[in-house]
Amino acid sequence: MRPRNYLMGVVLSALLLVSVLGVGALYAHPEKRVLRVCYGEPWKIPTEDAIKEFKAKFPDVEVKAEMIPYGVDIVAKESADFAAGVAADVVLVDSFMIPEYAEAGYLEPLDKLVEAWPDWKAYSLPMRKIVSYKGHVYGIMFDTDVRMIWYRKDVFKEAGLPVPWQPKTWDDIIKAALTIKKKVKGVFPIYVPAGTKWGEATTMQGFYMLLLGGDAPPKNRLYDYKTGKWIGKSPALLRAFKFYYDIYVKYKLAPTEFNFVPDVWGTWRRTFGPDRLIGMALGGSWEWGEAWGPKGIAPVPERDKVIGFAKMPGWSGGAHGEPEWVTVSGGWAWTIYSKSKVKDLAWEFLKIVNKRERVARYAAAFGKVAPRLDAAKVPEYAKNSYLMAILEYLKFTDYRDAMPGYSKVSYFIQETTEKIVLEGMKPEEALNYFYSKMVETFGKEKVEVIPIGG
Amino acid sequence: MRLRSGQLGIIILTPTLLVMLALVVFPTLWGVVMSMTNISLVGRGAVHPRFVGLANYVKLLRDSRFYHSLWVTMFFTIFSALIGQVVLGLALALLLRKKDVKGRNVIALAVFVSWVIPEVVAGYMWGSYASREGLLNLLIKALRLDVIGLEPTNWLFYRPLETITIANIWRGTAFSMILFSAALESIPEFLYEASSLDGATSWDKFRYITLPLLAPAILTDLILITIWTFGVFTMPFIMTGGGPGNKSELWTIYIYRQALLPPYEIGYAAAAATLMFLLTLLLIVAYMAVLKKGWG
Repeated sequence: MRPRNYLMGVVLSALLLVSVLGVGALYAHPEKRVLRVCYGEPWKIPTEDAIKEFKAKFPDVEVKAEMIPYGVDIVAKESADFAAGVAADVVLVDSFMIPEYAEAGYLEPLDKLVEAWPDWKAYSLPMRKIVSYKGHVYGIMFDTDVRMIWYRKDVFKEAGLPVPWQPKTWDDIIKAALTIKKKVKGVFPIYVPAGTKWGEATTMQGFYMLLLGGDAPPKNRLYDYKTGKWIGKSPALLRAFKFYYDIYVKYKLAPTEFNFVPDVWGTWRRTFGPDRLIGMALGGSWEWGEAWGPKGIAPVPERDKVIGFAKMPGWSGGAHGEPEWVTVSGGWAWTIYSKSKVKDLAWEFLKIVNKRERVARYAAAFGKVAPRLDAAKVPEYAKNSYLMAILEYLKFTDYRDAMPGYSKVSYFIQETTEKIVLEGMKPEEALNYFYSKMVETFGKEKVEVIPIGG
Repeated sequence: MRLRSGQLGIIILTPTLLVMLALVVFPTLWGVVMSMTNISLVGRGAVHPRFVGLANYVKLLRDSRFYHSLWVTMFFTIFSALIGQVVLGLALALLLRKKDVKGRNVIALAVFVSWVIPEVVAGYMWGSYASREGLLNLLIKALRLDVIGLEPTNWLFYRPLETITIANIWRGTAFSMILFSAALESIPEFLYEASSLDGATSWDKFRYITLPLLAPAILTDLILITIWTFGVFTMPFIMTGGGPGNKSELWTIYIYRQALLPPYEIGYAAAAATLMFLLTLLLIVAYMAVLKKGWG
């Protein structure tokens, strides 16, 4: 053996060893921890703000923001992500899906975490209830809302209707719409979301507003909490379907087409706002800022002068035992994915994003209702005259019957309204159709009938 | 050690086979398995799916909406792929072959652009183009097409199926055009010259030279675009979402809506998908048989 070869062997071996160790060290190096945050575009500003604060506090953590843009069905996207096992660590979900997600084991229970979190006391009982399911807390409400009748003051004036306007019964609404039809050309007098394209918005913005005012409680719901059954037939359901029938089919007061365009949200916001094509509509409180505000997606010049809002009355204004005024609240909640590997960081993020100042300032800027009671102590929020005005609605607000299976029931509602507005299905037929769908899905023994005309 | 050619073939094919197995065969079989359960996207059925046998198939075969989507898909495929894209693609390929046509580069570019635009973008473009205030209606007004009975309207609402069909012709023609152009290049020029000497007219040349020699290409094109068109989802979904109601609900959109929107029934949707797979398979086998017999 020649010494030279020997030396060469040693050098090569050493090189090999060094490179192997080097590569090993590269991989062994503690990888940067990653936190994935998923939210829809409407929450872009406050979420990005929170991510910035989070990064400042945890410089070693990489944050991946996964924003779902306008035009994409957020619920469908998030549901698919959960089911496929690829959801982000932190997900902002529509609160009505919490029971279904919790049943499927997609969400991490937060009971112990919120107990140890001083801020939890700032959330009112209803706000805690929305995010709870079977005694466990699964999320933290980020914003909430109320619903009302939006109306165009300029259109109403042109039609010779009083401004400000406050209808006392459903008849008042239809009469006003008929007046607009007669007096103002080129305007659809009323718009109530209908059909499956709108998804949950059909149920929430339109249907629940009618259902809750359609009969005396507790007959004005979709679920009977005493018997634990879904309500498949009731006078309230019939009255609600009839309202759709009246405005879409009988009097032809509403724009059927708008329910089926590629971008239903954008179309509604533009046609009611800058385009002035709609006289009045059932809609959510967020539109004031998110749609028609100066920073909104369809800003309306002189918004305060041309757009007004009124409370939704019960069908006879409370004369038959139904609530005098009706509104319903939903909203979005921050949750943690049960399979997340960085739950500690996810919780840290939740604490940051839900800070009082952020929640209040964001709510004030976009005309949303803050779920934290202490938001009113933040000057931006307290000084917002619009938010102070809709505080009144919170006194009589109500909630969806978000039991497991609710998303199916809601879909049947959307489908039924679709049949009414597209095919002109009569209210009684619509009720039978809805009932048949309910029985087919849940079984006859799980679906209750409240006699009509009783 | 010497390998026999058979063994070598297997070795070379193995990686491809493995990939096919993992990405095509396994998911298909898994779909069949899922179609026999009541698995759902959210809720209890997502964690505890039960075996339900053929219940999903039985329910499917009783679902009028399913048959409706089948009919919509047939219409869409026959008019947009078989008639629209093949005929238009052939016409364009013939046009582009003529050296004396002015502006043929512009035409070729226009056709290519429709092909390279991402589908989602194309979907929203069509949504805007065919809307009530869209460009299409402006054109109809400007060209006074109401004289021949074309009135401005909301096309996606009143003529949803026709609109997505035309949009798909617009989008897919480029492929047929390219395929036919390539095939036309391979027809020897002397055949035309010889036929000219024999006194053949342009129509004779097309009928007796071009068409017969293009037949294999046409058949290949038919097979490919039929299968593709059967599976088209993105652009129609963005344009109409299958609506209004389910007027333009293609089979693919039906499956999507069953699985990813309420009622969130993945098992049921898988059953529909399995039937779709079988039907497509049948089409392929039929085409292959014709291909072998006719121009093999």
